[in-house]
Amino acid sequence: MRKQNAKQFASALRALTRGKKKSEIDTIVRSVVGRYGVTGQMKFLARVWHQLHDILNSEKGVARVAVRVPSCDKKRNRALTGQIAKQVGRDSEISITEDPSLIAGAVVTVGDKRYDGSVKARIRQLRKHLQRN
Amino acid sequence: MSQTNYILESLKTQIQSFKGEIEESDVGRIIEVGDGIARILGLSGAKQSEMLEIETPHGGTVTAVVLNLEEDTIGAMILGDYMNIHEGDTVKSTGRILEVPVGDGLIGRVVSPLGEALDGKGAIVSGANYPVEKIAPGVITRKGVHQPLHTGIKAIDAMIPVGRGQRELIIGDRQTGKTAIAIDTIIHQKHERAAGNDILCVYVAIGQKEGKIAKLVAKLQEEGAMEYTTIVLAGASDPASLSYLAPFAGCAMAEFFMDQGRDVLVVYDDLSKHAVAYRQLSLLLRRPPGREAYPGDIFYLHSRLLERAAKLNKEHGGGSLTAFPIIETQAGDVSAYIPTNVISITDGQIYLEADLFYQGIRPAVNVGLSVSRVGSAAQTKAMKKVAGRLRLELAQYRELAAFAQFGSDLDEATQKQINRGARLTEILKQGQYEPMPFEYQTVALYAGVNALFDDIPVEKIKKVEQALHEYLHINKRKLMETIAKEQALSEDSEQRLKIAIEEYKKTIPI
Repeated sequence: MRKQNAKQFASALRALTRGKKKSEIDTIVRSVVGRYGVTGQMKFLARVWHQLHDILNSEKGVARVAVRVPSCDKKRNRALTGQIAKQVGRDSEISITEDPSLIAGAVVTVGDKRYDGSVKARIRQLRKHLQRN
Repeated sequence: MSQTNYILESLKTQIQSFKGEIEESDVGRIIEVGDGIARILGLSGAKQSEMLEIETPHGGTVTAVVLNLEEDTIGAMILGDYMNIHEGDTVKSTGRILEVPVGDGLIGRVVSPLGEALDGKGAIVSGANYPVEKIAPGVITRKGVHQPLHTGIKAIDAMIPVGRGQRELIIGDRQTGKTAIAIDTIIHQKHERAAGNDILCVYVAIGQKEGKIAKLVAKLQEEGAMEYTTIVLAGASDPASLSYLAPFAGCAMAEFFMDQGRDVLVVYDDLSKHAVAYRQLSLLLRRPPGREAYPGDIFYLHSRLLERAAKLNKEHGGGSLTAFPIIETQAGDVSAYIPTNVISITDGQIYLEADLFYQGIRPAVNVGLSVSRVGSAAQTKAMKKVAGRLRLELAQYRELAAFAQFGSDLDEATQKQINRGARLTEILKQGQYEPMPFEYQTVALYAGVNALFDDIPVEKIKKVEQALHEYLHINKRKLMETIAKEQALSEDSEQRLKIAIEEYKKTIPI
């Protein structure tokens, strides 16, 4: 039974690869993937990758931001990305997905925090307001 | 038209007064889900027992409760259908610790452990919510148990008296009448309420067959008991999470009434199934298994639940919460893990034996092994007077019963003791759904312990007792009312009762 969780494994892997050359890192990563791929633990590897990504981002001070918008308008999304990056105040990795059910507005998730400014959320709030009163 | 205009104007005003804001919430992501448990990544600010909302891809939400707080993940139990939840679904924190609706709107209803109506009589109207987990009342807020809670069952009210605020365990094998005792107690509270004792009842069904509960509800309705009873149901087909929550939810609903200064009886039927549900959840949450694979805190599970039963002092309203936990044993083994745990927590137990049941002694109470640690502090003076010798008489009878087969070889005193014991055993038998007011119990037991039934054949005792009650109800109503009002058997009442019984005996052929 595996004793380490994904976060611990990712931390150990980061410690192992810190300061190494690119070729040495490639060898380490290939051997880890090879070993866990063979034993059928791809799901665990996916979680390790996710945790490693977070570790690297936090080392660099990069925030992971997920944005949902009703439609993918490239021009508008570029403007939105710029605004969000300014608000976050540090390097950020912004991903944008389409969600037509939002109707309008956007939902921005930064780490564990979600900011929902969509029309869908406003309608939900309006419903609760009318029910209360 | 004017009404329509009014409605439109009102809606307009409401909408205009609405100020929508950007919703800020803590979110996480499901990384593993199955068997009613979800592992969540994120939600670093989540609290123990906090309610979470899982947003399913179809746009609905499912409630979950935080049970495990680990270094980077949360283990949450899903309260509802987990079949539509997938890995990657977003989970939102609500900031609310698990709570249930409470209030008068729950009286007479059948609800789920989350307070949702199950009886088809419309949504529950509730003005308040109470937390499901709560610290029990402290020493200073309590008062000693001193008021009786009459069950209407002679064997219990006489020898194992229960007080308001007590925890009395009902324990026995399957099909020995455990639920029957609890239901008869609930039905009897109708009489108590008519006599001025406002006692509400909460029956928590854990892992029970829904057909059995439907039958039970019908019976309570027939007897008029649903007017003051709430039923909390986590059926056999419901997830283990609901079975785990049900007793705590029922207790929270009862605590609302206790805090108002009212008296409540809560029946937990049964805690054996509750322990099994908790074991299932704990194993799925990867908590280390202990003895019999139960988690290490299985004792604490029941102790913190039962400790919430209390009699409060006057400064805190004077209300009470009496608990009747039920435990099912296997082959009469009271020394098993869960039964011994609960026996050590409660203030006494009513032990039901299958052997007695099959011998026709129903309720099948083993008087020798049953006890109430509150004792006569929770008994009326009238009952104390007649029940004092009852236990001793029965104990002596049990010792001598083995010699009953040698009937002709026994001395007169022994024969007399055996005869007396047989008649007392017969008097203590009682039909299901036939709870008896305490004044009539007093009469029956008085006649038994004072040798007034010694000349009646054992097989006729039940009929004679019933007829005596009818006779007293019709011809000596004032005497019965005096005993009921004073709750004592004064010398004068005793004399009148003795004369009445002798008068009645003259009218029957013996």
